[in-house]
Amino acid sequence: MGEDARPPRLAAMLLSIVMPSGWATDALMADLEEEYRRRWRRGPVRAGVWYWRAGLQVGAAYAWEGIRRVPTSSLPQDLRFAVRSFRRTPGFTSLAAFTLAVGVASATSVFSVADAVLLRPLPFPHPDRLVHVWVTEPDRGEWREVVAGVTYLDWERDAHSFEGLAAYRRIDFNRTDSEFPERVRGISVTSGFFTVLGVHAALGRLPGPGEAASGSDRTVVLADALWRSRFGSDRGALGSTLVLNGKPHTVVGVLPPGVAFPEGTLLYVPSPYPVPMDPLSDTDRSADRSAGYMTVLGRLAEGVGVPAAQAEMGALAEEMARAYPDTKGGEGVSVVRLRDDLVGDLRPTLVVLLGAVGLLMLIACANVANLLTVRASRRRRELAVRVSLGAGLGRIRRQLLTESTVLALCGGVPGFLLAIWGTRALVALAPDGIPRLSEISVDPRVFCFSMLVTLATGLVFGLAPLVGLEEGTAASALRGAGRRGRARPELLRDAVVVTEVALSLVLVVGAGLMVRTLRALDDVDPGFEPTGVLVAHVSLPESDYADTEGAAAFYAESLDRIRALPGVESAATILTLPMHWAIRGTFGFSIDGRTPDPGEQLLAGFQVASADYFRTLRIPLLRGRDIEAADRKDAPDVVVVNEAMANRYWPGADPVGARITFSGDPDDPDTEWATVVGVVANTVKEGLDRPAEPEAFLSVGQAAMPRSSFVIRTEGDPYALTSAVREAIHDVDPSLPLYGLLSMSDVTAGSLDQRRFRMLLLSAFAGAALLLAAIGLYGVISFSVGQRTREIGIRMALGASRDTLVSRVVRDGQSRVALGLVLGVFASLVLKRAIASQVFGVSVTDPVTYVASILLLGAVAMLATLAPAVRASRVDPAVAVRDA
Amino acid sequence: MTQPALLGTFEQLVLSAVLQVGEEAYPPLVLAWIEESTGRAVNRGSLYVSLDRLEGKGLLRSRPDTVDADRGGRPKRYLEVTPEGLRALRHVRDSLLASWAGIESLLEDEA
Repeated sequence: MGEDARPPRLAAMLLSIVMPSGWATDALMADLEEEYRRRWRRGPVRAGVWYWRAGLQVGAAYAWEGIRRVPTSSLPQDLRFAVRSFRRTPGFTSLAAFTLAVGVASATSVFSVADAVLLRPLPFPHPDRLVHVWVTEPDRGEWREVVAGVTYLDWERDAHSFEGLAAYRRIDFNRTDSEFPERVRGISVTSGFFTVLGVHAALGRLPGPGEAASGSDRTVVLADALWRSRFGSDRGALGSTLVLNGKPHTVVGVLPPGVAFPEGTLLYVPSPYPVPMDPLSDTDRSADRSAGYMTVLGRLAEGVGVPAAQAEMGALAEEMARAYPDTKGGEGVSVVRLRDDLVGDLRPTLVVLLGAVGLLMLIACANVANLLTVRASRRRRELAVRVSLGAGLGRIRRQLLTESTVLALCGGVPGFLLAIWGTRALVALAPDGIPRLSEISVDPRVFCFSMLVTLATGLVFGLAPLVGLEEGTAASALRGAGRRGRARPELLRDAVVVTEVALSLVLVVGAGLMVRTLRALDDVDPGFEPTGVLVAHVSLPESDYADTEGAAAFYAESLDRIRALPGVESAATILTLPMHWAIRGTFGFSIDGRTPDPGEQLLAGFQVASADYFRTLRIPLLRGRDIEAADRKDAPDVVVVNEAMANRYWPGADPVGARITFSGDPDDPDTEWATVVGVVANTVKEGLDRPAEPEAFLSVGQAAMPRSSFVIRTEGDPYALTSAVREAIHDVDPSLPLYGLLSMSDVTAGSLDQRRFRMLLLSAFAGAALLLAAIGLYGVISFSVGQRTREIGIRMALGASRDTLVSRVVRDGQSRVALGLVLGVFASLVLKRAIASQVFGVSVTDPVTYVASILLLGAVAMLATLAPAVRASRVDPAVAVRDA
Repeated sequence: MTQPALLGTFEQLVLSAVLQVGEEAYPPLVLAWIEESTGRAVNRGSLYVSLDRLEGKGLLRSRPDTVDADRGGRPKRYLEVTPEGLRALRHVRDSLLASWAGIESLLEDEA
């Protein structure tokens, strides 16, 4: 019959808390035990699981019944008692409440962010079926490339794994129908875009598949945010005309709120071509096979998973590579879930943060547990007296339960308020580029979870005084209370404090590594001199600048005016600023007289610069010459390459004099070749922690693009010249918005925003953890001192000096701290892989960081132990011996 | 005569089950009977709470019986439906039958 089979004691104990006392409860417990024994024969583990589940069912039902009957229960009395009891010990109460508040607030805020960004499903139907389809380059591993026109159309025609495919491309439009020209973020989409996403218009309608706008009938769909801010939520916006990049577009629909994909998009412009519009020119690029510029979105067909789609697309890619080895050789395809793509880089950060917050919650709970245990031992005597005077154990249990709940509320409510504030702060401080930022709000589920955890902690440890205090043993408890506590609780308390110190060290080391990473990044040479440079961006509408000559003339005249401004040292234009959002993707090119190896594709970043660009940004010229004003349309085409490009494609040789072309067939006699005239040093392209990429710089006089950035080196503060520069551009073309005026230093610093943010967060956690560890230490040492009051009194009466006693107490504490530090170092080393992805320029096991962290923690711990130590030395021996 | 007590659906089931199980009726047997006859799992907590409520309403009575030594001296809670409980059940039966009068054919199982 399995007489040895005993149901889990903890479950039984917890259940007995909520059950009313009486023989019926005894019968119920016996029923459960009977069933447990029966199941135990089939499998002890399953029997245990069953018991817990059954216990939860019964406990929950009775707890709820108890709550329903509140007016007739002892709850009001228990509440009053609890409040009085806490008011008598304000120190304990505030420490415990503060600890809880910190734990709940931090857990709730960070988890809310993580939830919105990582966990919450995207606001589309069946969001798990939405994917991005990227092209992958053979020698660039995981790097995903944007897609070319023909590739997309081939996929649309041949792929069966998708219910629908669409493509889009971000284009920021110049809007010139309102009073002032403004720049609005938008995307150009193919006709199936909205169907693939699965959204419906909140107002008006959305263009459907097969409904490509014709060349003249251009339409636009507004995002809800734009409709509210610029049109005042007026339904009359439907049918109105927006002039975007010089062309009239009719507003046909408004999207529902909460749907802004990609993040921040305000305008959705159906492309007049089968593929999205190219931001650089309003031409049909469906026949283009090599240069990718669009992102492909797909909805998997029902029942088709990502691996199956990946397999099909991979096969298609191989077919294409066989058919077009020059342009498609070696290309692969990558199908990635949309959510994973959006979150991508952030996942490791958020995981680290979640880990940190979990640690913090642990520390907070450990502290509360500690404090409650300390309090419990002080109360054993009180409770023993109550029991001996006839109070039922169940009644006492209920009262302790009430106290724990009140304490949890004292900490939880401020914690919740702190969480709301903390989440807002997080969102405000968060750098751009955090997806779904607008969706972040304090999550009630998370808050409930945090509260539950703290409540549970309170419950378990709040009942600690009852351990061993059975009815009838009150006498022994009375005798024993006030003396040194039993060994087991003390060991538990010590274990808790040691763990706290260890966990705090892990967090402090993490924060320290982040700080050093930021410093290292700050020290990285971006390859140019950003201080004292103002940048500004323009985008030329095709209606006014149909060809490169028009654009080149605009840039030339603008630069002349800007250079004439007082306070301007030099000025130039560049297609894409370093560390600014770049035209994604690199472009294929050919070298005159060289046939690429099979499967090899020559790729480089495509840049267009005016004369003085390198000088303005102080990028060193390594060989040959710079681009000059004379490099115009009527002169031979020239190009300057960077060091990375020279080393990759002309290893060990001098590229000056070589000829390359970005467009056209190298065998075509009419192809325009550009001669390499110079080599410049590398500059950072996307991030300070990414290696430099090959880049080729054409002359703006020969290849002007309708988009460019101005870089202006000023003698004084760059911001002092913003209005002057605006006016200068305005004089050349009043309809052109100039946007994004920033100092280059700010642009560079901005690239570090995300990292800085992480560092701030981790430091905040580390700080909180330190504080909590200190509180924990303080609590434990205080208790220890309190327990040994009698001993201390005797020692002092026998002549021990105060100093000796103080140092004894301090040594006591230090041994725990030392053990905690050792464990913490060990834990940090074990966890180093978790943080490795975030760290740059410093070793994950950097000794300086570790030593500094240990010293910091040691100092804090010392302070925490000093206070009770000093108190110990003030003990009056006579009082101590008498009261013990 | 006072009105018979109103019974919830689950309470009806519990009372019926106690009657069906008979003299040896105690909570685990009642639970087993309900699960078998309805074909659905029953929340244990709901059952015990319902037993208490029914007893509180006077529709059920229970008595401890410590005959079974295997339970460590703890009693079994034997259950018995009171006359009031029977009245309440009869009332339910009559109400249901009245509500089904004339639509028996509709309630027949589909062939």
